[in-house]
Amino acid sequence: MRFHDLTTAPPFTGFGAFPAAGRTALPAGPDPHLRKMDRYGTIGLAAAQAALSDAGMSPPTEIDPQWGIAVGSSLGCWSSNARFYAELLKQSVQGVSPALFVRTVSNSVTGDVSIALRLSGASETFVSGWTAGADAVISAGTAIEQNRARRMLAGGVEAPDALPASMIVGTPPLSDRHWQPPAPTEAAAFALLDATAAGDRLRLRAFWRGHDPARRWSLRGALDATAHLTIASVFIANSVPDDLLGRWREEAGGVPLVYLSGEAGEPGAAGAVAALAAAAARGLAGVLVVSRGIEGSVVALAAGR
Amino acid sequence: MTRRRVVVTGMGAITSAGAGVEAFWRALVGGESQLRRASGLTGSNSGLQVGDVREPIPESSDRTAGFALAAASEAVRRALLGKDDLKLKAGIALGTCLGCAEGMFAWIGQAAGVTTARQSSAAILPPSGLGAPASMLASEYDLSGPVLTLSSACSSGTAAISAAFDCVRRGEADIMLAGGADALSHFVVSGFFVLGILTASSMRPFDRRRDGLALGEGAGMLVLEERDQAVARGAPIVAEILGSGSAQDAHRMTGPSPEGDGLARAIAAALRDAARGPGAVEFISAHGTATVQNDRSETIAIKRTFGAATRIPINSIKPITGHTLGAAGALEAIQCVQVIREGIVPPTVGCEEPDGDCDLDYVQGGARRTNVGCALSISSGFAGHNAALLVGRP
Repeated sequence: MRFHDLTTAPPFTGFGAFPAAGRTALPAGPDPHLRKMDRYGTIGLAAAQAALSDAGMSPPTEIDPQWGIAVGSSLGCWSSNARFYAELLKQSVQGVSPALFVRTVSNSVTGDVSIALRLSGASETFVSGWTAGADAVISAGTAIEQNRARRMLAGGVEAPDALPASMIVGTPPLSDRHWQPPAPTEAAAFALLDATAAGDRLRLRAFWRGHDPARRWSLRGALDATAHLTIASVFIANSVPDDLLGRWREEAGGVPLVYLSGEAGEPGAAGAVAALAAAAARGLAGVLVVSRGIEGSVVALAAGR
Repeated sequence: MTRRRVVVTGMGAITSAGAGVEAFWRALVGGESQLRRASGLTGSNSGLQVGDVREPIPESSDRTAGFALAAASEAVRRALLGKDDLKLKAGIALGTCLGCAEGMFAWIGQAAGVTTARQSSAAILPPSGLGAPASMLASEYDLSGPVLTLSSACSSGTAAISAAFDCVRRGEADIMLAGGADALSHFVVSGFFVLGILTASSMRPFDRRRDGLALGEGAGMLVLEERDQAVARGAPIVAEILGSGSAQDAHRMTGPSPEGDGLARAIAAALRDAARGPGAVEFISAHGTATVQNDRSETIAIKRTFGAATRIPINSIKPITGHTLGAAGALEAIQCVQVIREGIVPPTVGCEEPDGDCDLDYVQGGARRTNVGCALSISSGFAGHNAALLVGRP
């Protein structure tokens, strides 16, 4: 297995999440844009603001293309989609709100955050399932490596309500067809990657991603490929079937394996950034964050100091 | 940082003009609009023009996935790739705006108790939702590389090709299937209808009488491949991807920046990425949605980059195919490749009396013969996303 090294290894300088034990307030105020946002945009902006605050940064005061954003989501705006569709079926098309339709595109959260924080540089929105948040982190890291931006906010946002959440239950995944994934939970997590920051910080060093519905991906192989990064712990960012988790525990050998999913529900695309935040909070020298989607994609992020 | 050269070795398309790149290109060069009155899209919007696909598509649980599969199948065939060629270090990046609408929203309607089981009989998609078509294609072709789905509204196709380009350039993959797909649905047509941006007559990009867009559906897919590998296996190299760029407007959710700020930044980023100056660009495939705001701000963005007096030929293909949303950027990238190969720039159908604010060369009246070595494709989407892709002669 060969990981792709990031020569610039941009540091993570701040993390923010929603919910976060009461520490992250939802954005509010007289700004008309804030009043128009749906839950997807609101919790995404809350987490993005928290990441900036954690980094001790203020958003740019004027247009600066060196500030970019990358977001991932699997279920993001389906609540707004469901509301729009239900309205459409209940009344004639003239009675449906155009403002609500704007909320049905997956990159609405990217627009909300970029408008509120004046992020005008490189931008991507991934909807590749649960691994989309890890894709966003890779996109941010490579944007910095390719000199497309100096600072990138990267995150995952999931805002399911009961309706989209119930869509999960009882629907077999494309892979692991005999496994019932847990219900998705509301979650948003953002990280600030800042090429201008110095110091002893966790940095995005390398990544691997691929399609692995047959479960051939080996955690042992990933640890061997990243041995030079002194991986102190492995974080599994998304729910996986018990037998696969058991195999990975064995393959981890003496490296502690942290399984984040479970009691709190499935964090979807927010899981990878939440795992990086947890690793940074523990002061780990190196961490491997593994995100696996129900359709069989695997994304592994290797971060080290 | 590794920066390998990335070439296009195959293309596939399915649009209202029919299945295949040749049918698509023939309609573009002939300036033959493929739009017709909507049927089957019920409600007060049923009299609108749409560019719907009438060709049979591969059997799939979803129309968007079927389009993507049809286009990918042609692209892989044209690239002379066998399934074994795709097993190692090959992936996919697919852009979609509201793909999977039929199945996903029908299910939601049934769950919400507002439709009957018969009305929502479309296949229920797996929870991966918008990511399902890319996953299905990855399984179809046994891909082991990255499986990415990008959704940035109407610029999704361009964003996906850019992401795939990056994957091959930095060595993460040797081959990427890249493109976009979207299907028409009651949901999508109604949404654009309530926004008030659908034309009541016909699409007229950059024209003073323009009053909005017509929707379309379909898919465009390209095979992007590392150049040395493509040469070694004798692949039919048809173009090179030179660079890409993106930028947020950070202005409003629905309307573009009036001064074309975000789009100008995306174009500048693509030129910088390709290490080319503005003088290298010899054709621009515009977003050209025929809305009052888009065409004006797009013209301003082009002038800011290339100069107010620029005479670069510019066109919009949307009056022919309709606005195919997530597929649009991919189909326009295919157009760029064809323009370079054939030395013909298709016309902007419906642009007869350019607006005073739209005073560039929009290729009116018919296709034009011209030698093009480098083409720029630009796209913009809701929520302020802008994307630019630079395509060159191999």
